[in-house]
Amino acid sequence: MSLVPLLELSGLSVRFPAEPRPVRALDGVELELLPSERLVLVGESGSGKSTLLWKIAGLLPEEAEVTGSCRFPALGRAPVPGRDVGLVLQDPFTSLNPVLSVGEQIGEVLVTHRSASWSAARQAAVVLLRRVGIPEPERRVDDPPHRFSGGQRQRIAIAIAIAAGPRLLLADEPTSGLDTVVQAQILDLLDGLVREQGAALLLVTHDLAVASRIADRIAVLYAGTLVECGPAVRILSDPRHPYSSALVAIARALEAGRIDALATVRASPGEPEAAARGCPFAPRCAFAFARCRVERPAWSGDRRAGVACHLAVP
Amino acid sequence: MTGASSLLEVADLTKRWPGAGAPAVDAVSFAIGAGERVALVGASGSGKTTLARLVLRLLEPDRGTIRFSGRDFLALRGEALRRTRAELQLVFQDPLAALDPRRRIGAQLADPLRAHGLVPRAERPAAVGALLARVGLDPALAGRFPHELSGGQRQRVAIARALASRPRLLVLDEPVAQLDVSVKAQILALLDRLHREEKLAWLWITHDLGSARIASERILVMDAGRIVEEGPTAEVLARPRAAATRALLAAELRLPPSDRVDQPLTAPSVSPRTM
Amino acid sequence: MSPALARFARDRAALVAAFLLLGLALAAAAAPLLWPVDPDAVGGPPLLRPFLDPAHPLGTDRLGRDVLARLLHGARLSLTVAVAAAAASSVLGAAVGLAAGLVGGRIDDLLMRITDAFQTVPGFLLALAFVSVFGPDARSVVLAIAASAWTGPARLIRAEIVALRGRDFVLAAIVAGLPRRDVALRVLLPNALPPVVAYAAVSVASAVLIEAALSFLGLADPNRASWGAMIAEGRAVLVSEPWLSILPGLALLSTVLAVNLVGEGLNEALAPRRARP
Repeated sequence: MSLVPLLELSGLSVRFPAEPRPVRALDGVELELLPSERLVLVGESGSGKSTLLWKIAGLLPEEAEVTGSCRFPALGRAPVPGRDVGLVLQDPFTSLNPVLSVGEQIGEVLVTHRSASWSAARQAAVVLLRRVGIPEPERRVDDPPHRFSGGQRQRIAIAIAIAAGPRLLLADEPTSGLDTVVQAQILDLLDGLVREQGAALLLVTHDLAVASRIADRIAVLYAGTLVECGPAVRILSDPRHPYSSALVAIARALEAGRIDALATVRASPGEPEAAARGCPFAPRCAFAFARCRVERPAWSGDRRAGVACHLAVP
Repeated sequence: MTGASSLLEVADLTKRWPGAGAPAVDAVSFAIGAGERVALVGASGSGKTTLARLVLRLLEPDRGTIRFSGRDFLALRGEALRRTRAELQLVFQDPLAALDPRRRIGAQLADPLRAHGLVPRAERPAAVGALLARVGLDPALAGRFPHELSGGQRQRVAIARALASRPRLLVLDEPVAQLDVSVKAQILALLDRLHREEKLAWLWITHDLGSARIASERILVMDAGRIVEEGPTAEVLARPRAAATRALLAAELRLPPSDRVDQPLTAPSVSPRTM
Repeated sequence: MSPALARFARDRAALVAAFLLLGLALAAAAAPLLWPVDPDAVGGPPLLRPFLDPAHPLGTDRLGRDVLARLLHGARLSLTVAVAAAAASSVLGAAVGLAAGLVGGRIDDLLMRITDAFQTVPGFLLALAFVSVFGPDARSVVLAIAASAWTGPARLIRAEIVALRGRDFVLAAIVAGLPRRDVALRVLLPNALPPVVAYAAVSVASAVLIEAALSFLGLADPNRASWGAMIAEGRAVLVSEPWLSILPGLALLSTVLAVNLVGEGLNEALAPRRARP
């Protein structure tokens, strides 16, 4: 394939200065995303998945030490946040501005990035609200966020994120604050919108079931390192890294209501953190052997698929 | 499971918030037998959490009765209420919010031991250590503050605190909803073990049918303040009758069946360029 | 070192301010030893400028009294009155706020209406009225300041208690079977107190100012050296001998600034820590 990737991460590492020693949030991540591809980053707390998303969105705090590269080859320039990259956050109760009407918040994006007039922006806001499934948008465009339910607010946040027609939509746990029924609706909405707009989607979640609903490809992060990446169907049916396979096993056990199948990952000794040497997952891995504790497994594969495990067949 | 053998019997329980139209909890009746595991499921806003707070008497109902261990729970006042609380405990959704940020873990675990006069002062540190060990934690964590623990460790501490007064019924309000998947699995396994060891009954509140499947024999489905369906968990989820149950099932996110092997197995583009 | 103390120590400005205040307090306490000169005795020529005579390093005032001795003794009065007033207003305010927040209902309404009534009268006017009725000695100045300043902590602690009452960990303590008294004193109070402590520190600053203002107006004990009174006396010769007002003014300014910085530092240090996201 000769498609130029939209996003290309190469040896991306991020450290935060902290006492008593710096926190290594990401370590040597290799990843690419093609235009209109849907990639889901799966990881638990402390895996660095949010740090990765923030880096791509240009939201990392000043003090973060970044090495490696994060480029947008298909764009040919640095992305303009809000125009080329849209962002949907986890909590729709705090991500919207409580004092502006939802129409103004959507319109603001169009006025800023698409040089629209305010009256045109308001018209466009009505269209966008309808597209994200808000009933009677003409009547509700001037309402403030608190007049909407949690699920509706997340729809509005999505309308803001896609308003300027970004090439890449980033979503950080967009459904984890919502209940089951709304969760599925929001994922289907995101899925439909990126298809319509031909945008790429990078969604972060800790829930494999969420990933399975929307992903073309899945990348699994553990303690700041990419442990496995590949086509969603393959990861879900034939995971090669012990951590991914434990996640899949747990998700299936929960679905089946089988308590006996749950104990596949050892308790974490604390917050996971990138080890200086050896495999970061080794302390919790059921299959770890001597080499795992002294030698960090190299990434075998490329920026689209691969695994980092001494046991995995590349 | 109803009748004289029930541990908890709730009848016609109703609570309307001031200014609200429909009641948050509307004439709800159900019973939980000793050692029985019951799930209460429903979408957000269906009244699950209000019902839990009513059952624990953290809220007073407008109408209805609650019988716990054969006693009229709503008639209890002051010291009698405080004593009875030992048998009826609560685990919250967000363990960080449920623990006092300014007190060490050990002091918070000692609260129920002291309040119910279960363990003399000199033996409390050992008893706290034993509680921590029972939920799979290092007794040395007693000296830590809640913010120094991971999410899973905090929920274990909250469970240990709930178990300290040897309750007969546990109300769990979305106890695993905020936890990572692998931690969630560990907490589910821990609670399952405790249920078997202690003959613990519980009311497990959740919007997630996965944990309801694992954590209950019987299920109550709540919608708009009412219980709309009730029965053995496996049966209700296999043959749902109420619209609310069907909606919950339809919205459940599931992995594709594992036997499906229609894989485009290799990566779509292993381009030499990227190597 | 406790975590809160460690966080306070990391705040440079607050740390410097705390040492400055400590130094000032020690100097004030040890004034008779450090500079054994009677602040009220006429010990030299009047209006001697600073840095000219080693016997009077900061010069003398219109009556020939030693300015350094008067500043040090003024610090004694200012700091004692201010700390006592801040402590009194915090204790009174905390008691009222705790009662209102815990009992609720009609008692809450009554206490809060009384608080409102006190708050509608400007604090300084209240203090003025108080001193003019009870006389200008140090104790009535303390009471006057406390009477006008207790409403702040009262409202603050009531608001904290009301907000805390519905929090999960407070419900958890009730469910755990803690007696009401333990819920109030072991769980609610420690969590409600830190903002009040920080507020008390800041209210020391305003007490210093009120005390100075009362002295400036001649409403404090005329027989004791005080910064406010020194500024007032210096006013008569402000144009020709400005240092007589500037020196106590600088003392006042740096004290108030230091107290505020310490208060800010405490506020930051005592905020409950939350885990990193």
